Amino acid sequence: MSLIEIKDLKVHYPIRSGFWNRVTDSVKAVDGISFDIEAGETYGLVGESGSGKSTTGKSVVGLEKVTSGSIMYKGKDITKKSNRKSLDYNHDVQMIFQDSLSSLNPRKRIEDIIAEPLRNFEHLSKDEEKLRVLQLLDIVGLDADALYKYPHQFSGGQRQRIGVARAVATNPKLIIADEPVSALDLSVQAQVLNFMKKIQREFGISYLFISHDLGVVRHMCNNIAIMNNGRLVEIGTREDIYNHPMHIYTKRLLAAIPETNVSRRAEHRANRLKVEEVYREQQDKYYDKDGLAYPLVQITPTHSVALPEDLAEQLKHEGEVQA
Amino acid sequence: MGSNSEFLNIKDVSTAFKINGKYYDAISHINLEVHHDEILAIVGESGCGKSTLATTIMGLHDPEETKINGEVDFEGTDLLKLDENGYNQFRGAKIGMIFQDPLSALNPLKKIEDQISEVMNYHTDFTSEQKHQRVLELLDEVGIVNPKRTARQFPHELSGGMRQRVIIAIAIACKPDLIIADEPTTALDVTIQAQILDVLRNIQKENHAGIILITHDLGVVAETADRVAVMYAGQIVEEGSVEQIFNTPKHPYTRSLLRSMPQLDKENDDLYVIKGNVPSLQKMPHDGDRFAPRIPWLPADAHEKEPAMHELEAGHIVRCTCYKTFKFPDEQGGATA
Amino acid sequence: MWKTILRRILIMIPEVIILSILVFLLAKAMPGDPFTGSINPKADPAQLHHLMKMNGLYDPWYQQYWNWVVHLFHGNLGNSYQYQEPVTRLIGSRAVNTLWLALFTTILTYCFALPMGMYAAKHEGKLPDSIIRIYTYVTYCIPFFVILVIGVWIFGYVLGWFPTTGSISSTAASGLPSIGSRFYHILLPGVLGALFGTVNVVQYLRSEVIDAKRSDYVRTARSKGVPEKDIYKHHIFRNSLLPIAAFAGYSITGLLNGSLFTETVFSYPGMGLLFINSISYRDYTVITALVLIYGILNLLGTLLSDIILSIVDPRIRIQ
Repeated sequence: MSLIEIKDLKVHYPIRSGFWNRVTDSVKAVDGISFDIEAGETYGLVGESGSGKSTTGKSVVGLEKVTSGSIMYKGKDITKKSNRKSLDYNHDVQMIFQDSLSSLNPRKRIEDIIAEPLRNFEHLSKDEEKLRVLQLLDIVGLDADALYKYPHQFSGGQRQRIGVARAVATNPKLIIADEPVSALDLSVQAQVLNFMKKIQREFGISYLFISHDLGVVRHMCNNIAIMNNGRLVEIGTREDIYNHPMHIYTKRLLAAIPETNVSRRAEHRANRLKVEEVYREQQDKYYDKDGLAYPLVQITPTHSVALPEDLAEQLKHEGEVQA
Repeated sequence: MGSNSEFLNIKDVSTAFKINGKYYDAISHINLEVHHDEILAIVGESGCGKSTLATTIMGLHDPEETKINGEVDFEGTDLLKLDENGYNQFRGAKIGMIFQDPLSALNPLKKIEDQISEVMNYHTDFTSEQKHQRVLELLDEVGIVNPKRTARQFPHELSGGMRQRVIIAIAIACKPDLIIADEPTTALDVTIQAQILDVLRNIQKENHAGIILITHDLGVVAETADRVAVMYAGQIVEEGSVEQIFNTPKHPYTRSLLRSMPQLDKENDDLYVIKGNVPSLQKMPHDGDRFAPRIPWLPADAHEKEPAMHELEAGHIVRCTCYKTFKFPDEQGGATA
Repeated sequence: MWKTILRRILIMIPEVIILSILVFLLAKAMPGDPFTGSINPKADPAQLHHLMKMNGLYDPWYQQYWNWVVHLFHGNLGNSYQYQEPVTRLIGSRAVNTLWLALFTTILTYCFALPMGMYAAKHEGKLPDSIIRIYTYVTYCIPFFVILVIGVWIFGYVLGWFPTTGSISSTAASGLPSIGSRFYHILLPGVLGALFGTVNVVQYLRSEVIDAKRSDYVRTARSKGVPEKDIYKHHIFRNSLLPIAAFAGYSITGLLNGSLFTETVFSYPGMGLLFINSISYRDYTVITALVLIYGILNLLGTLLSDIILSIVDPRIRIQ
């Protein structure tokens, strides 16, 4: 059984207009997505700004009011507040945010920031609590003198590691990481990503890794979902997504990643322009009449793509021929 | 790229900021040339001084809070010797600047057309009809689909990518020789980033301009730049063609940066992490190799006392001689960390 | 936009009803009655009783309120007990005086405050800035009525330069001399009000300008080669003044409230003085009418500010 099963999740925001301010329409931030996260894995959720990936993440932690659909954890639907309470859900599921400065309370010392989830869920003595905080700081590679400092006294990378320490304080089963490294410099990003992997190895934590950076996602994630306009367009393993992308949207995203092999950049650029061209021409084929993605169709046991029936059959067939 | 085509010559420029009454160097002794028809990328992490270099060239620093030494020779004029009025003849006309955050860089209360034509008010004698035509032409050139409509809109009505296109239109309105682009794609999605970089490249080709592209993103550099200068702690540590920097990097910092990129690694390995932190402005070391504390396994005598720039082959320059013996801890012959 | 304005006005209706009930009840709750002090102290209590009954003052409050509302819809706010005059006419003549004073003070306040705020911000941290800030702090610290009393005493009594009572000289001929006389009467209270009422506008404008000076769009303008004086004119001041314009909606109602002090000290026959007087005479009809007017003006002022803001700032569109 998977750790978390998300089924047909929808988050719609009402648009009010007219004289009586009635709900006339809705923004479909998340529009019927389903995927599972296994224990101990890093699941990548990729999309551009406005794709609904952050809203999905917030729904999984319970910070977003879900319109319909379910998120099953230990056999219960945690979109209901009562279930979250009875399961002690927020003890098991924590979140890391993109902006480490604004997500850490500037008036609290690091000790109190990291101990906060402990105080909420575990009733430790003062000494035990301090010991745990010190252990956590050690895990993320910060010295004990960090205890009495304030968030602004740290660099961006250090703050992000404090965010990680706070998230792992309660030994959670799942951490939602919303763009955890996109505000960081390259060398600091490497540090934070390594820590996240190390903690995963040691404690068996699962991550829902939300990012727009396909390079980082490839490094971190075994399974990946590509999100576009509130819907999933492709789900697969790293191998499926990076080596056999099927949806034109995925192809377009991959083509836009800058090529670091300098001698091949002209070729890479030509390829990107070609993919852009195809994307423009074939848009009607890959999206329904409202410009939204079709329901996912399974191509291989691990790989699903949002395609209309006929196109899916054709691609499946081509795949078999190639195999 | 003959060396005679250079039109911007930065000679021994240092910029110091006043912090609590004392001056601290944000960039020290920078030497760089920019040629026509090239994109020179300046890469480095936050705090390395790359944006300070840009604002120094543009003369955007408050003279009471900063001390600038050296010479910025732009087509025979030393920009640093100009007064405010003199500088304004260059800014917008011969030097255009593209900023990072396209929302805050546009005046929220002015229409796009007014913001673009403003630059022409001061540097051209166009009639208002000519200016209007030029605005539409520029918006088209930077890839905006409906220039007439966009010209009438306000910044908040546009998407991030469109705003960045408008910023570019402002920068190129008077066909400047030099365009300085400070992190032009950082706030944008990858697909938009690729389009914006295409626009920049096309403009450079058409106008024969020289572009200084300031970025922390090595992928962007590899895709767009002709030449690269790598900065660390206020100094240039390595300079060369994009092939030299990416295929045969020499300086330990350049090599470390490339090694910590997720794109180039084996998927399940840990990424390379540079030890320690970038020193803050007040704690910047002023003698010896500034990068030495971050490669502590390298013996002290591997560094020069006063690290100088050494030209290895045409155009490829490296600071300090430590590159000769530098190896990563896990490489053959490298010390254990 | 018109729909929204209409909706906002409709929402104001229940607000005004609640306000009117409150006002009515509070006025009733005041101890005393409108007649005891005003008729012959030797009068028969029975006669007083009769007067009260005639005016419906013994009816239950909702009955009285209902009568009042019915009259209100006929444009009849009742008669003033004190002045024996219809309240509408009484307030009408006073309102003109108050409006004159309020308008003059507002204009003068902005004439002082705008240059001060901009000048202080432009020379932030330098001597002129410090002087202007000290000035605003000092004027903020001294209670306004103290200033008024001192002003009247020095310029009115000691020097005798300005009149200390009334809104127009009784001997002024109609036409130009009457306008001159009116102006002469509001000059001192207006100038004092403006000189000591600048603090809000100055501080607000100063911080707006300082924010704008450091904004990215000003840096963009610099990189376009726009000369410094044009940067101030086209970008910094323009952007900082727009919120101030919206502020004007509120400030009108604020000044009406401030008129209480000014008019009392200067015995200036406006709505403020009328209000104070009618409270001391328990002139219920006038009190309720005035409070209701002030309340509605406040609501309208807020709406006006929102409308101005939506016109000047393209980012805010009422829909």
